[in-house]
Formats: sequence, C-alpha cells, structure tokens
Amino acid sequence: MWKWINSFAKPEKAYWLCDVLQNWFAAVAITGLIIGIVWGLGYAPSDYQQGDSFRIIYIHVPSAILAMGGYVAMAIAALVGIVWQWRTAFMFMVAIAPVGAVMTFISLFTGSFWGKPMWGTWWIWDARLTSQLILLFLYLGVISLYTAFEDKQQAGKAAGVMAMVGVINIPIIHYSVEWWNTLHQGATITKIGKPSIAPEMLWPLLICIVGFAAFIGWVTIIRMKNEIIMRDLHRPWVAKRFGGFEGTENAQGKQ
Amino acid sequence: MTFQFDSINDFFNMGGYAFFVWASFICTFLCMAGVLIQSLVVSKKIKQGVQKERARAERIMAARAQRKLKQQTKRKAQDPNNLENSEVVDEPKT
Amino acid sequence: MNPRRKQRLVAVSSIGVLLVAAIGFMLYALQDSIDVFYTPSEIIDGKAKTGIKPIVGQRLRIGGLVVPGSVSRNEETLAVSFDLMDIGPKVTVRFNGSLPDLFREGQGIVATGILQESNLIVAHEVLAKHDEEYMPPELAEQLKGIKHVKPEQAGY
Repeated sequence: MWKWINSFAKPEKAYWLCDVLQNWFAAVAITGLIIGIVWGLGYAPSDYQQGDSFRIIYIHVPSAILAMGGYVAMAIAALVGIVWQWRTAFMFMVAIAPVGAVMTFISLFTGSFWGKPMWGTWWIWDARLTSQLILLFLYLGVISLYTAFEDKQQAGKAAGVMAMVGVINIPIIHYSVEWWNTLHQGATITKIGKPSIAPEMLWPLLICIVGFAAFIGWVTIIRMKNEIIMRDLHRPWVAKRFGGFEGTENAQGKQ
Repeated sequence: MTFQFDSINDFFNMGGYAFFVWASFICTFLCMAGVLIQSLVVSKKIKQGVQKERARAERIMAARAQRKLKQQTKRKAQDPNNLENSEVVDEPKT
Repeated sequence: MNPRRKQRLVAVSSIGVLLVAAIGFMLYALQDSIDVFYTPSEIIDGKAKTGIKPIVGQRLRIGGLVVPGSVSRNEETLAVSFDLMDIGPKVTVRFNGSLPDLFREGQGIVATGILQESNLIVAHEVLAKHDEEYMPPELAEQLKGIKHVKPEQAGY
C-alpha cells in the first residue's frame, strides 16, 4: 500500500490521477452549485429577522469554511513536500493557493456586504474578521514566496514553511467567536450539537458547501496539471502524451 | 417547495436588500469564473506550447534526415563504384 | 549582490512586512485599547476583576440588550434613545442617525461613543449583533415568541 501511495510522488502518476478525477469534480461542482444556489436564492424561506439578506449565507459560509479547509490541505501538502520530499506535494500546494485566496476574498467581500445591512457596518476589527483577513495575507504570502524563487525546490520549501506556520491561524479563526468578544456571531453548523438553522434553510447550504468544495477541487486539479506539465516540459512522457512523438534532443532529461 | 417570491420583481428586490445580495452573488460568480477560466487558458497555452515544440522537433529531425540523404546521394555521385571505401575481400583472416 | 539574491531578499522582506502587518493588526484588534469594551453593569459597578469604572468624557464601546419599552425618538432633535442592560443595571444610549435593520427590543447592540454622564452614552455608532440562529418568521414566533419588525416600521 505504501508503495502505491508513494507512486504519487512521481509527476506522471499524479497527472494520471488528476485526469481521472477532473471530470467528476467538474460535474459535482456544476450540479451542486446550480442546485444549491437556485434553491437558496429562490426556495428557502427568508429569515425572521434578516429577511432576504440572509441568502448571502449560501455563498458566504461555504467560501469561508472552504477557505480555511483549503489552507489546511495546502499546509498538509507542504508538510508532505518538506518531510517526504514529494515534488508533487509542492505542486499541489502552489495549485490550491490561488483558489484558496479567491475563496477567502469572496468570504470577506460577501461578509462585508452582509454586515452592512445587518450589523450596520462594512467592517469591524473584531477577532473573527481580523483573523480571516490574516488568512488572506497568508495565502498571498505563500503564493509570492513561491514565485520569488527561481529554483522551484527552494521555492517549495520556503512557501511550505509559511504554509505550515500559518496553519495556527485556522483554529484561531474558528474559536475567535468564543475566545473573544466579537460582533460576529457564534457557529451555526460547525459545532457539536444540533445546527441552529431550520432544515429548509440548511439543505441548500449543505449542497452549496459540497458544490464549492468540488469547484475548488476542479480548479486545483486543472492548476496542478498545468504545474506538472510546466515543470516536466521536456520529459519524454509529456511529449508522448501530447503527440506520440518520442522526443527531441532536449528530451534527455532536463531536470 | 414553493418559490418564495410573489413576482420576479420581488425576487430581484430581495426584500429591500437587492444591492447587497446581488453585489455579493455577482462578485462571487465573477471571481469563481475568473479563476476557472484563467486556469483553463493557461492549460491551453501549455498544450499549444508542447505541440509547437513537437512540431519543431519533427521539422528538425526531418531536415536532418533530408540533409543526410543529400550527402549520401552526393557521395554516390562522386564515387559511384565506392572506390574510397573499398574493402579487399580476399585478405587472409588471421 | 547578484540579482537573484537581491530578488529573493526583496521577496522575503516583503513577506516579513506582510507578516508584521498582520500580527500588528491582530494585536490592535484584540487589545481593546482604543475602544475599551464595557457591559452596562460594568459601567455602573466597574469591571468585575479590577473594579475599574470608565470616567466621564471617555470614549468607549458598550454591549448589551435593548430594554423593552425604553426606545423613544425625540421629535425635535430626531435623536433616538434606548436603554441597554445585561445582568441588571441599565445605561441609556443616545444616537442621532438611522438604526440598523436588526435593531429591536431584546436584541444585542454594540454602541460606540462618549460617556456623558455615569449612565448616559452619546453614541456615534450603533451596531446590531445577532445570534447564530436562522429560522422562518412562523417558527420564530412559535419557538421564541419573537416577531421582528424593522426600526423604521416600528416607528423608532
């Protein structure tokens, strides 16, 4: 089993896995997003106090939760890359980083447009919002560290360290509403106990979370394939895959 | 499951919160479409690059093969009986 | 210095700046040093552990629940006033502006302003805090006995 797992350290095998999974993620993403958002926007009952503005929940909560989840996945990839020296792990890390950053931005933007009508302010420096903003900075930091180094081995290590160090922010974000006095309210679903949301409102939310997660998987897979090809550009397996031609004089293994 | 709004206008109005709700959904859609499309565009460019390299490599190999053929025919024209490379067939083997 | 090393130095230093800025923001937000947070009972009786009370003229933030029946709008000055409480003592908040949509009796409110008298705050910002529960109006009336009405409709 370990041999099989370790085979994914090779870019060619990882590329094969991406190929297998890509269309599944795409299908789940498109179906989940369409069903979840149409249901949430038009068919879920409006909230007793927030009215129809609460429908922002269907994009704010999935993006916020998955921004955090994506960072954890990125940090795990960084760990695998640094400890087990898998090149493909660093490729995954750099593939998911921009997607996670986009999700974090979406959560901050939608949160702001939800907070203005409900709380009365576009922004407040409470622990939840501040730590989520820091999450965005961490993502951007990982991305820029990686692009700064020409030697992609070093780049992976530097960005990987930042990814791993930054993961401490994730429990901070989650528990911020308990540890500190925040304007942002406590957890509705990510807690032990019954979700404090009516079932007719909850179902489209869960579907949206699945749809968003599959979307992140889909885009990450596309980006990972891009990264693999770019890094292995002159390897024979790449030439073989994209044309059936055995290779040029350059194909003698440019590392 | 019933549609929660009395009319399409009510739907767009979102109970008075139209600006906030639609700005959020549109921004989300644009960001997600943007990152997806950008990734696909890069993917296409890479594939085109690989194919260009392959075509270029084929042209180089073809040109090389052509040049080799020309050299061979040229040598044959100058030396039709292959006198330069003639081997003495009945040299005693040691 | 060779250009690659310089590029790396620039990158690492800008990361460093980003990190420092992030940590700085975090400490700033959590320190409550700019706007110290008080509950109504803390304004009247002082902080539980230290007994510190805010002084008149001080800028602060207060968080409590709107006392039912305490909301009124002055017809001339158009200022609205309401009382906030948490465990007992009440503090009055005066505010000139439109109240957030979630404002209602019993709702959590966070107001920022100046302590004008020992139990009166003139606020320049009134924010509504809501809990983590979401439910349709019928269920809210049934389970919690709450019927939410926006401030404009309630006549504040």
